[in-house]
Amino acid sequence: MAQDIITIFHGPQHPGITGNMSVELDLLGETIKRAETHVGYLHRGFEKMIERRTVLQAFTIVCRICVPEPDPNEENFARGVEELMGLEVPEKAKWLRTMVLEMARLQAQMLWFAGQGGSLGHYISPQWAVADRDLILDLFEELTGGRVYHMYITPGGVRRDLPEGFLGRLGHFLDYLESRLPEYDNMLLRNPVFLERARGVGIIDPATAREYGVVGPNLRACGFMNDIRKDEPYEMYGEVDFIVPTETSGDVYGRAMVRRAEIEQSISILRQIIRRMPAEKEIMAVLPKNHRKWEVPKGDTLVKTESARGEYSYYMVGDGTDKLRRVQVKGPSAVHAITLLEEMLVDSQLSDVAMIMNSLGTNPPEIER
Amino acid sequence: MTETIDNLLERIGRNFQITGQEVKKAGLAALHCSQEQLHGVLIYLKEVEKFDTLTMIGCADWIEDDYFELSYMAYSFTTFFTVMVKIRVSRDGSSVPTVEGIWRQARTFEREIHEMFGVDFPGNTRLKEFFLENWQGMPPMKRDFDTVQFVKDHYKLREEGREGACNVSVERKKRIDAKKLELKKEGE
Repeated sequence: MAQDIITIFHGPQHPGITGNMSVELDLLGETIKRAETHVGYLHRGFEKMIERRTVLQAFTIVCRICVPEPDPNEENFARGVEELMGLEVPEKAKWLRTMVLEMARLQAQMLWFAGQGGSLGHYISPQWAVADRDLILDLFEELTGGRVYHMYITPGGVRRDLPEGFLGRLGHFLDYLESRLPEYDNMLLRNPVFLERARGVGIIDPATAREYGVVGPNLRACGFMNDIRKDEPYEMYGEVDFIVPTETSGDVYGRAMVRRAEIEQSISILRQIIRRMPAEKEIMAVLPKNHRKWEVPKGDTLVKTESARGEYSYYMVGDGTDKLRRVQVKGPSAVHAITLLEEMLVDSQLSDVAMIMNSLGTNPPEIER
Repeated sequence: MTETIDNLLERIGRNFQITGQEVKKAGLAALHCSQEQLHGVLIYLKEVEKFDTLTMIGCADWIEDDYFELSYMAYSFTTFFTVMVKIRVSRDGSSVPTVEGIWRQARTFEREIHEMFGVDFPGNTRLKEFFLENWQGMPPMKRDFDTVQFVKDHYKLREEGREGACNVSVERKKRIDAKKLELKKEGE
């Protein structure tokens, strides 16, 4: 008997979906024959809101564009404003920003561990990873006052200097996290179930990766050694030593191994930052006295940050007033979760959808803004 | 010879009619061209200069001069240069042939600009509803889109069950006025 195609919605209310989005799937049995991404459940109009706000008012909302990774948004926005206004950021502020960005990458990688394991029904992963992520959030809370949204990297510098003894506590946390990594390896990355499920699934070949503009760990898992932190160093990334891990398999397993290696690199970068953090107190550029006087000259720029899931780009346009004419955000999911995902899912199995989405790090809030 | 972004701009200028160019910072340049030249410049960047990917397509609304500025941001993984190729199109009923055939990810970027600004991209294979659902009005990212009026037309403040709720701004003003009066009396 010929089998019929049935159409189902995977999300937006589904434990295996990454955030508020859905994928419409045409199934022949368990095999996907067509996939279509639907977004629009979460559009908050940030870019429109920014048009109506002064620079400092806009700064408070950009972090909310992406829940798992707010800090790359803050940094991009701040650096874009600084470029347009010609602000010179003190060196210590740049070190602090680099530290925050690496802490943000670490917490995002832990969130990925949680999601990747959870998408396989392997619930120890989210339990461990979310608990360990909370320790990073404790440090964020101490430094910035906020656990998830920090509003710390402001145009011109950073909002606060380090609390007394903070770097010591960060160092202890890094030691703890490093000691945990072998346990994570045994729990998930060497787990026979994960190996069986992840190898050879969700493959992106190198040509497709370039063709579709794949970024971040997804690109590096295809063998490309591209990382904005190395290719176009910003803040103090040019001053720290780290390697850009790559894999060649291009599958879910390869992407997992790249992320795992990047955790070690982040730990190494943070240790270098702890050793080299300047003692000086200056953390803010000389700024206009009144926030109404933050007039951004006419001009535009493109700024990029390497988040844990790939390149974040901000196109920012000033028009000579105290408000930005345009701030356009492109997160990594704009590339990974629409055209690429739709084509990757064809001929995959229904049970692999959640795992593939998590391995790509798809995150709808940054698509919709 | 070491490749510089100035050399790159010079080569592009020799091959196309560029109406303006600017090096914005290390590794980032902008050049302006006509809509007719756009595809030629982008194909040249990809095929000859090996600009592997399109980072994004920016769109800014210059309502006072009645045009949108579209910025196609091509990126090279070899030189790490980004070139913004800029064109100006009319704010109403403008149409720019798709660049999906040059870089596949342009499909999504054009789809968003089509929905948010109303620019048409003939040839785009997925120019369909994206974020918005059954949207009939003015594209919402145009600067003359009235957000306040939109809210007034589509939402209303919940009145029922809030009859006794105080108006915070009025109450706050009353408190401030009372405090001022008190201070004034103390001063007397």
